[in-house]
Amino acid sequence: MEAKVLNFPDAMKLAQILGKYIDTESIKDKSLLDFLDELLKKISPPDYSKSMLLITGEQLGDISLLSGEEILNTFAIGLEKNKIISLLETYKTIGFGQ
Amino acid sequence: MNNLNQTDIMIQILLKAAGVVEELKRQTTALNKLTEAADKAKAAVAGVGGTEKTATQLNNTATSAQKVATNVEKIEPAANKAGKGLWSLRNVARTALGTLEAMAIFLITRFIGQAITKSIESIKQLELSLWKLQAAEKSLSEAGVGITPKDLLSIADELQKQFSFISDIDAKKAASNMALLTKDLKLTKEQMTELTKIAALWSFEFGIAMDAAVTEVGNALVTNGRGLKDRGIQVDAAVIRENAVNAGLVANAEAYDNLTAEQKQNIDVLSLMDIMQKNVKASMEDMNNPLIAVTMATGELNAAWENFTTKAGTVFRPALLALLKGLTLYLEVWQNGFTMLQIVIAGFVASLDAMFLTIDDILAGRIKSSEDFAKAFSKNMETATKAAFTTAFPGGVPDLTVGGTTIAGTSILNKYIENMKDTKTGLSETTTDVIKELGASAEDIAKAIDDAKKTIDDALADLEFDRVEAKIDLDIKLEDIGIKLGQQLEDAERNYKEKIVDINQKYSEKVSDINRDSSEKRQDAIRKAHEDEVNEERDFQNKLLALKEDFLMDLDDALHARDARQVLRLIRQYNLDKARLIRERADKKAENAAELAQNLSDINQDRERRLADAARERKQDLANAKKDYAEKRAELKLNAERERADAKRDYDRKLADLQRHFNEKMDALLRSIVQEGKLNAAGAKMVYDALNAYRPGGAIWNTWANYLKYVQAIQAAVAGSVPGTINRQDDYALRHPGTAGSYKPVTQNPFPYHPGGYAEGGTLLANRPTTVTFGEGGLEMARFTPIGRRGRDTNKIFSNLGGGAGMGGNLKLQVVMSEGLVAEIIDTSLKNVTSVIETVRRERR
Repeated sequence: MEAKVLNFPDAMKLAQILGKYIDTESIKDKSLLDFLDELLKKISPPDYSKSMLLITGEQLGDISLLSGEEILNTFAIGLEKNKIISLLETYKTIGFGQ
Repeated sequence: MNNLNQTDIMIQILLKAAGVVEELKRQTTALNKLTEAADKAKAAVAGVGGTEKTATQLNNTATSAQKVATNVEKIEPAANKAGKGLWSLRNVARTALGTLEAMAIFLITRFIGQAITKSIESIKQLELSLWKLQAAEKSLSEAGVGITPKDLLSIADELQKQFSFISDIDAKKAASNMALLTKDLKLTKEQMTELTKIAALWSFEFGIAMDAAVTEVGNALVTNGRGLKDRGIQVDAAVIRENAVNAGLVANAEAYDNLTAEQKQNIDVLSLMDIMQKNVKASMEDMNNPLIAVTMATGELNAAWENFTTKAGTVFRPALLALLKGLTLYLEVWQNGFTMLQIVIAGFVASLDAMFLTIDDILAGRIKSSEDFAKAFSKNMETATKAAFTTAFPGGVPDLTVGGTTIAGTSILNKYIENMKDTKTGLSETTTDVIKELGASAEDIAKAIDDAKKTIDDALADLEFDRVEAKIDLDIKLEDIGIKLGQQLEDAERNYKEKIVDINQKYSEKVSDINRDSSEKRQDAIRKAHEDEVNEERDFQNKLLALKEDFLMDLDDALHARDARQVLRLIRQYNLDKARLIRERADKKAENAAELAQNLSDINQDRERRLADAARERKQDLANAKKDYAEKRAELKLNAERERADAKRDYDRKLADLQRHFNEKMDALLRSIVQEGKLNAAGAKMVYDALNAYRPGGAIWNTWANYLKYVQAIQAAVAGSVPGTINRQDDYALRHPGTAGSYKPVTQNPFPYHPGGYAEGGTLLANRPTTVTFGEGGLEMARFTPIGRRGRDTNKIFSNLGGGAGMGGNLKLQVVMSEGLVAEIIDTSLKNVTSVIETVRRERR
C-alpha cells in the first residue's frame, strides 16, 4: 500500500485532522520516533483512521489487514511525502488554523 | 453493529502502529545506551591516559558505532524507495546492537580494568599524600620551620587554583615533598608557594610529571643549581651572584661578598628561584596562548579524571570489588566456553552501564544521599543486567553444567543481579559526603550550560552582526570602488575629449597662422616687386629722358655747326642708346618677374611644409592622447581591481579573524566552565558535548540552521503562491511555451523547496541602485515598496501589505475547494481575503 502526495483540499483536510495533535513548534527538536510515539498516544482512533484513509486512498478494511509495521510505515511515509510540518505551518499561515 | 466493528477496526489499526513505535523505541534506547557507554568509555580512557593501542581500539569502536548510525540513516530513504518500510530499522538495530556489542566488549573490559586500577590507586595516592603532609609537617617542625599542615594545604590549594592541570593528589604531594626537600633552607610559606609554582611550570615546560618536577626544582635549590645542568641551564656561584645583583637582590657584588653566610644562603635561594623562574617564564606566557589550549586541556582533563577517580573510587569501591569478585567467579567456570564468555560480556556491559547510569543520576542531581545512591545503583544494575542478558540471550540464559552440577540459566541471572545488588552495602559517611559533592556538581553543570548558552548566544549574535557588518562594509567598499572607478573613467574620458579639442584647435590655429604668414609674405613679395618695378620704371624713364635731353642738346650743337655727319651719328647713337636702355629695361623686368615668381614659389613651398608639419604634429598629439587615455583607463581599472582585491582580502581576513576570535572565545569559555565549575571529567564532557552540539557546525546547530532555511523557503513560497494562484495555469503556460495544459497542480508538491538558491525569501532594503538576483532557485516573487515617505510608506511595511507600483488596487484570489471541505475553512479564508482587500483600498486613498 502506497502513501500518496495529497492534492490541496486533501492536504488541508489532513492538516485539519493532525493540527489538533501536533504543535509544530515543540516537535522541531524531537526525533521521528518520539514524534510518532507522542502523536499516536494522543490521536483518537477515528482521526488516525481518517488520516490513513486520506494518505492511502484505500478502504478501512484493506488498511486493517496490514501489519503494524506496514501501517506505521505508510503513515510515516505519508507524513514525509506531504511535508507535514510545512503543511501545518502553511495551514496556519494562510489562516485556516484560526 | 457495523459501527461497532468499524470502531474496533480503527482502534486495532492505531494499536498496531503504536505497538510498533513502542517496540522501536525500546530497541533504539538499548542501542543508544550502548553507544553512550562506548563514548563514555572512550572519553574516560583518553582521560586516564590509556595505552595508545587501547585508545586506537576505542576510536575504532566509536567509528564503527558511527558507521552503524550512518547505515541506519541510509536505511530510511532506501526503505522508502522500496516501499517495504523504514521499520526494518528494527532488524538493523538488532544487528547493529550485536555488532557493536561484540566489538566494544573487549575494549570495555580493558577500560574497566584500568578504571578499577586507577580508582584504587587514586585512593591510595590520596591517603599517601595526606600522610606525607603530616610527615612533612613533623619533619619541618623538627627542623625548626614554622609551617603548619594548614599552611601546606594552603600551598597545595594555591597551586591548584593557579594550575588547573594539577590534581588534588599532585598538589598535596608537591607541597609536602617540596617542604621535605628544602627543609634545611628554612623557607617561608610564601617562598614555598613560589617554589611549588615554579615546579608546576617546570613540569609544564619540560613535560615531566609533577613529582619529578618538584624533585628537580627542590634538588636544584639545595645543591646551588647543580641539578639544573641536565636541563641545559648552566649555574654556578658566579652566575648566582651576578643574577642576584642584576635582579636587585643586593646592591652590588661588593655588598654580596659582605653578606653573612645565612644572608648569602637566603640571597642564593632567591637568585636561584629567579633564574628558574626566568627559564619557565615563556611557559607562563604560553599558558595564555590559545595555541597550546589542547595541551592545557589534556592536562586539565587528566587532573579532572584523577580527581574524579579519587571520588569515584571512594564511591564505587564496594561495587568495583564486587565486580572483581564476580569476574573471578565466572572465570573459574570458564570451561563452559562461549556461553560463559557471553555471560561475562553481558555482565561487563551491565556493570558498566549501571555504573554510568548511576554517575549520570548523581550528575543530574537525582541522588542526594547514600540511600538514594543505593537505590539507584541497585535499580540501574538490575535494569542494565536484564537488558544486557536479554540482548545476549534473546531466548533466555541457557543452563550450565559446572563440575557435573547443572545450574539453571535463570539462577545465573538472578545470582548475578543479587551479587551486584550487594554493592549497595558498605557505604560510609565519607562516601555520602563525596556523593553530595558530586551531586552538587550537577547544579554547576546546569548553571554552566545555561550561562554558557547565553554567552554563546551573545557571541553568536555578535559574530553574526559583525559578519553582516563586514559584508555590508565590503559591499559598500566595492560599490564605492565601482562608483569611484566610474567617475575616474568619466574624468579620463572628458580629459581625453578636451585634449582632442585642444589638439584640433591648436592645429587649426597653426594652419591659420601659416596661411596668414604665407599670405603676408606673398603680399610683401608682390608689393616689393611692384615698388621695385615702379622705381626701376622711373629710373628707366629718367634715363630715357636724360638720353633724349643729351641727344637734343648734342643735336642742337651739331645743327648749329651744320655738321650733317654728326647729326646722323647722334641720331644713330641716340637710337642705339635708347634701344639698349629699353632692352635693359625689358631684361630687368623679366628678371624681376622671375624673382617674384621664385619668391612666391618659395613662400608657397614653405607654407606647404609648415602645414604638413602641423598635420603631422596633430596626428602625433592625437595618437599620444589616445594612448594616454587608454593607459589611464587601464591603470584606473587595475587600481580598482586591486582595491577590490584588497577589500575582498580584508573582508576574508576579517571573517577569518571573527571566526578565530569566536572559536578562541568558545574554547576559553569551555575551559573556564570546566575550571570554574570544578567539574569532574564526566561532567566536563557533558558540558562540552552539550555546548559543542549547540555551537555553529554542531549537530543541533546544523539541524536548526537547515530547518530555519527550510521554513524560510517554505514561507517565501507560500507568500509567493497567493497571487500566483490567480492564473497559475496561464503563468505556467507563459513560462513554458508549448506545454499549455501540462501543469498538474494535483500531483505537484504545492510548496516546492529549492535549496541552494541565493534568494530564498526575505526582505531587502536599499538606499541606492542595487542589483538583485532572484528566482535562480525556482519560482520566486519580488515586490518593491518605496519607503522614503515617512509615515505612509513605513505603514505599508508594518501592515504587511507590500503595496507600491503594480498592485492595481484590487487583489483577486481564487481558491478551488472540493465539496468535502468544511465551511469553516472557507469562512476563515474569505475573512482573511476581505481583510486584505479592505486594507489595500484604505492604503490607496
